[in-house]
Amino acid sequence: MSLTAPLTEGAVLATAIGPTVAMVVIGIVAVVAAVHLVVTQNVVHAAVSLMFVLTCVAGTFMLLGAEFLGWTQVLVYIGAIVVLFLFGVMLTRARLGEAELDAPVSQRWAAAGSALLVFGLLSGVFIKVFGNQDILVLSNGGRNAPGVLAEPTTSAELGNDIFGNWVLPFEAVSLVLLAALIGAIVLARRDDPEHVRSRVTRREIEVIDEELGGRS
Amino acid sequence: MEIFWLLPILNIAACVLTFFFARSLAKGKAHLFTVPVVGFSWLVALFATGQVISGHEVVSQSVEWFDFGAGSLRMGVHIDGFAVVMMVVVTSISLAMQVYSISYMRGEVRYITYFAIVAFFTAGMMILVTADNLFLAIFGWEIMGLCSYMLIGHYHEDIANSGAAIKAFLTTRTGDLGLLIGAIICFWMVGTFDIEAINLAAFEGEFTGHMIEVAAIALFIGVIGKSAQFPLHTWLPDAMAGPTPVSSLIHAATMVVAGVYLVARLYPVFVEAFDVAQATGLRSVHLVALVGAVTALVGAFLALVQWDLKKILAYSTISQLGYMIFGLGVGAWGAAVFHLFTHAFFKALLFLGSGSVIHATHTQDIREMGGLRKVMPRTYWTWIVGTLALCGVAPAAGFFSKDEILAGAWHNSYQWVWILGVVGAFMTAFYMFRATHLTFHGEYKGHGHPHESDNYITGVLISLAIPSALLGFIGLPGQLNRFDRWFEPEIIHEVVEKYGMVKEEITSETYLLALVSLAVVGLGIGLATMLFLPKWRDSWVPGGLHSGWTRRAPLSYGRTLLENKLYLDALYGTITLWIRDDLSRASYWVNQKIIDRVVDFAGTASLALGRGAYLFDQEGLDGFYDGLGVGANRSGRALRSIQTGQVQQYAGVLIVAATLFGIFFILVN
Amino acid sequence: MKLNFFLVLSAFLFSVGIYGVLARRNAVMLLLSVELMLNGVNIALVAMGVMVGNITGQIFALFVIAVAAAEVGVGLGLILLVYRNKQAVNVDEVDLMKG
Repeated sequence: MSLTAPLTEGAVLATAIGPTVAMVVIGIVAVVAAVHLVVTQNVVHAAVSLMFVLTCVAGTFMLLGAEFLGWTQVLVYIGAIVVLFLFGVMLTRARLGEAELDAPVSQRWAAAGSALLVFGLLSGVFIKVFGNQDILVLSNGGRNAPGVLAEPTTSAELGNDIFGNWVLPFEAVSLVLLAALIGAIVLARRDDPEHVRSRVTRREIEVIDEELGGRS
Repeated sequence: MEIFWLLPILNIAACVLTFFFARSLAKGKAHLFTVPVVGFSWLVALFATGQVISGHEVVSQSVEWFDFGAGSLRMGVHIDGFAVVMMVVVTSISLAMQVYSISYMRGEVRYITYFAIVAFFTAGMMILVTADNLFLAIFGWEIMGLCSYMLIGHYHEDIANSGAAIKAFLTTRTGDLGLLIGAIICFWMVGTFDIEAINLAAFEGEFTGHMIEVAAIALFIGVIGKSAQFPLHTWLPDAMAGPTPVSSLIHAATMVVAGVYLVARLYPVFVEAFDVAQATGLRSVHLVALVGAVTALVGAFLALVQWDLKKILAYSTISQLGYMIFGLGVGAWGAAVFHLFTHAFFKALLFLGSGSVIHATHTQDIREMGGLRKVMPRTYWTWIVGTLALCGVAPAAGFFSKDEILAGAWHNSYQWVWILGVVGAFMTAFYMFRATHLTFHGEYKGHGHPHESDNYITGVLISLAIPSALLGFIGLPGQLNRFDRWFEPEIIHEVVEKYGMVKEEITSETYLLALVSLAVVGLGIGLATMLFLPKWRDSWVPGGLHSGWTRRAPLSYGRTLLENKLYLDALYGTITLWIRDDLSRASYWVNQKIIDRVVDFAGTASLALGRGAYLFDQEGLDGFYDGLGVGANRSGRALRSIQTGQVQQYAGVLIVAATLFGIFFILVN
Repeated sequence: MKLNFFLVLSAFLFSVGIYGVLARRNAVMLLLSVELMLNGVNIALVAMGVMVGNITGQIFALFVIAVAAAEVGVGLGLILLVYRNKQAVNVDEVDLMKG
């Protein structure tokens, strides 16, 4: 089955209608969640929005046939990183519900300008370069499984490529992860027992104060 | 022979088991995991030695490790005579040292960690000596470096010890960079990391251009770092901060000889690159011989003035490693490897003996010892055996191996190396007997009541003393030499044949050379006894040795120089300080004077242009200098306002600038 | 199904991420926005990989996920440290580099 096998328009439409609907839904959810992420005044809401965005991205990957990547996205990102974020939120006790998350208005306008500039540049380039390029034609010659745009990449293929052509980058990434692991531990550990003790007492005092305040 | 690949894995497994389960399963008795494993390894090594002697062919087997597109990396073992010799050294000393440690380290901090790391180290050394390719060898080499670092810093509560560990690690790492570069050049030239293939390619001259010299020099830098050769030897004496058994295993018998092993293993590369065989050619760079001989001499000189028993042995190790290296440098492959073999036993014996002494006296300063012969007879007599072997007194092991190196130097027309080696032998005898007399003879000068160590320690000492005394007989000169015949790999044999390097018959010259070096050693022993044996000293040197004539010039200059370790540490420290202080001061100066001046100038110029005429009219030069100050001030303030310290501002500038550049390039295209 | 659908979505996520990085003062929010940007890039990588018909894009996306995990770990460690010293995680208060 060669890549240049002729495709009829009808076949494309027939196989692409399901994924298109799915993609439109995913796209809308992703856009809304992303915008909510950057304007919400609640850190936990932001983390949950990130979860939505990540889920949508995982869905996109699966539609594109990158199943392994989609599941990795679910497991690593949604499973681990978002939980890590929630821990970070808890540990730093970032004040919930207070309007302190945003920078001053002028800075936000400048930020919006920069973001628009970037979006304009990127989307302009994409539209100009890829125009009406159809993702189906070149990808797999129409061997689509029902419901997805491209034939799924098997994890065996990915594994062969990673441990063949990309083994050195892979090793480098593993070193980066190790360094990050050690670095995070070194950064985050408290090595001053005195300090810890005084913090604990202070927190206890706060608790007692609150209780007293509640009763009076 | 076919299960050799299992041994490193067994030792690593022992390490892991010890680390995780020794506390729960063996009530902290970590040696129950590691000692049986290393004992088994030792038996396998002995068995393999028997096989090699009876003519078993070389075992070479490998599996694919991983494929990196441009080629694949294999992982495998190559067991020839040389590998077997190294295996025997590693497993014997490791076994002895671990049994010794059961008693020596009892009740010490981190007992379990200690045994786990020692097992890991043993595995690393075995990986190195059995590896069939350079990549795997470097793998083992680095495992050893890591373990050495951790064991030197075993008592890291003392900041000096962790400093010594870091120094050892960084110094050897400096050399390892060279090793890595050399290995990569070999891979580039030969297309594989396989050691046999590299040796063959070097032997048949397949390296193009001057790449073989570059590769050999790069590899040799790694050797200099790991085997503590001059001028990177300064880490080894500091490494004595580790527990004494560690010094015996890692810093005397095994890890520090890894460099010697590498030169011996890749011998064709070094022979072809440095023209080892053509001693008389003027164009030759006898780098290996030169570095080795200088190290042998410098180490011996520095050992003369140490008061710390372990440091004497450390400098002695440096010196003996120098002997091995120059043995290889003058073409005496068999002799150098034989010296590696015997040295491992007698130097480990000496270190463990010193550990026994330190255990009993709780000091390392030989001025606070003395008279220990009566209270520690077993330690004393085994120490004497080790000392005689190290000095090279016939018929102890060191005599045959060291003399063979010296004879090799003489026969291959490296007479200048021979002279340096003989001077080194004299000094070796001198400093060893100085230490012996001060430690064991005379009156006890320390505190408390030292007593003989327990049976673990003395048993190990005795079982090491036997090979130290007798091993020399397998390396007799000339036709009687069994060592070369049994253990010399094929490719080395071809190299030796091709260049006609030393395989001398026993002639009258052989006896003469042996007599000369024996006489020199006797002279050293006699002189040391005269000066340091308490009974004799007073009659020869009235007023005591260190009060009178040695304080006068020019001898005192020599003492000061040696006591400060030739000022090398000071030199390295100065360079570091220079980089830290002066270079930063220089850049600060450039910053302050030049860059500021430029800024000043810009400010001044603008002011001068704006108000130039007026200022010139009104204030003249005074105004000009005022303006200079004001301009500097303003330009500084203007530049300063950009540096807000706000990351988001920086990020914004970056993003906008990148976008604008993107737009610009799109418009240009 | 047009390729540009994915690419424009990716550009949008990236730009929203940039807005978040520049307009938020809470450091945790900054990190969340960085994750948005990385995901935008991942979509572009995978989509273009599918378009040209090889899986290199997916492998790069995997690497990006791995590095992002490292980045979050170290980033949150830094934030904890800042919080411990300043009792706040506002990036505009961390200006020791101010000239």
